[in-house]
Amino acid sequence: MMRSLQSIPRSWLYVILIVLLAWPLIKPIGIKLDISDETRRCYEAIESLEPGSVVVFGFDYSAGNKAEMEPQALAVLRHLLRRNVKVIGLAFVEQGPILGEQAFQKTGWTEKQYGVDYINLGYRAGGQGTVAAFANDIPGTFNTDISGKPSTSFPIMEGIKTAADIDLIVTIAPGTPGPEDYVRQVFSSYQTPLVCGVPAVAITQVAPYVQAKQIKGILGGSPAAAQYELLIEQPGDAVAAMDAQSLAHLLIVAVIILRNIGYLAEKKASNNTANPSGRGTHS
Amino acid sequence: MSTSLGVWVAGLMTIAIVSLVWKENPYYRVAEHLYVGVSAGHAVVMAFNNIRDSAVKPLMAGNYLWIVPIVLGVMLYARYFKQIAWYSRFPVSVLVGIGMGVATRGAIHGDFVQQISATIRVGSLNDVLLLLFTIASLSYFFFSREAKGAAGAIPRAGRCVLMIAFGAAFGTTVMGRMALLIGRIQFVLGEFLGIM
Repeated sequence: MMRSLQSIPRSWLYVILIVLLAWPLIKPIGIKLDISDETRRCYEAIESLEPGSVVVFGFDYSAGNKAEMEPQALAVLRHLLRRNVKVIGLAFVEQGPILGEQAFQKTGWTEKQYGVDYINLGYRAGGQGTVAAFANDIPGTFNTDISGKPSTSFPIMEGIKTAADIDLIVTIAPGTPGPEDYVRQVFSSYQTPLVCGVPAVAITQVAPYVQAKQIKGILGGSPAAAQYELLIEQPGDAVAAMDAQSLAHLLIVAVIILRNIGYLAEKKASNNTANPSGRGTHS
Repeated sequence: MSTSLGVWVAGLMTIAIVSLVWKENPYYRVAEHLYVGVSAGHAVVMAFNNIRDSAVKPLMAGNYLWIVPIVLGVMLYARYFKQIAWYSRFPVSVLVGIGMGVATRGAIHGDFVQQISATIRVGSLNDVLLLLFTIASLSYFFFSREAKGAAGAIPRAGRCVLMIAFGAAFGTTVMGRMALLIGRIQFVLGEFLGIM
């Protein structure tokens, strides 16, 4: 019986996992959520912005990681909308502009005046080199908006030349170009405050930059998105997902324990088969 | 249930992709190939728009310097023709040179100077631990002389620190993958089936 724990079919585990994830989404449990210092620092960086400040928002994620990154982007955009600041959206990832458009729509930014309160400057290729070019010449690097109109023809771009003219940069980026590139090419030269959203797996990679005060705060994975939704008092999909996340982790821990019990039982049984008398083999 | 064709396509594709966890099947294969194809197609269109907006439009507006990167870009394709393949080395060398220059300049200040100065600035217990763990981890990669006896304890401690860091990274990777699955389940149950 115990030995069979070793051979639970993988497909059954996946089915149990999917059911376990779906159940709290339909019937939320409401597991308590604490707010981390990192998330609070991001919140405070945006809360301290004066109305009319200019924020660059990097939609540097794609469809493959949208599920983890978009809740962060939506929560921060909702907060920015409440702060009455101006948002310049841009992307160093191909799929960023279209996901940025969706995010602007979902958060109500599209009810504001395009080109005055917010703009989507689209995508520019080139990775870290283009991030450096952006820092030194924003209208030159992003010379058109997403629809191909000259970026300088929009009132929001008046007085915007370099990263020094930006009050805060927010980048939601699961990979490269990402926070590290902004630190190396923008913060190092212009000291423009930077806040970033990264997937859970990248937290340890970006944390040293927060320690060194090169980044003001990081949102790490879906828990940070949920915490941010609570901070802005607009609980959404991320908060709903946290119950499912907790149950999934419990399942993983349970399966690890069960499989180890099965492993030990199998080891004991094979020892008994090899040495039925239970005596040692030493002479 | 949604009445939008786009949501139906996305919902069915999500179910087709997730069906792999049960077993390999043709629906999964179709969805997988569609995803790769659509992503590649989108990337090509975005790259075309990028060249049009960043280079061709300024060139047409009279900024003739843009002819240089355009010509260098075209030269990259010379590698597909044996006799003139060596032409492609020029743009590659420019790309590597500029890339190295930009990256090194940023890395020296952002990754070395500021990181080291932040690590050695000790003001709290956390800072002390950070400094000790950094030294221990770095010592693990010091291969010039074998650390024996008491000195060997430092790289051994460094290995433990690295293992803790890898464990944390693995744990957060699992959390990240769960978040992706939860996102798709939310979409299927919410936007697609409307039962959430």
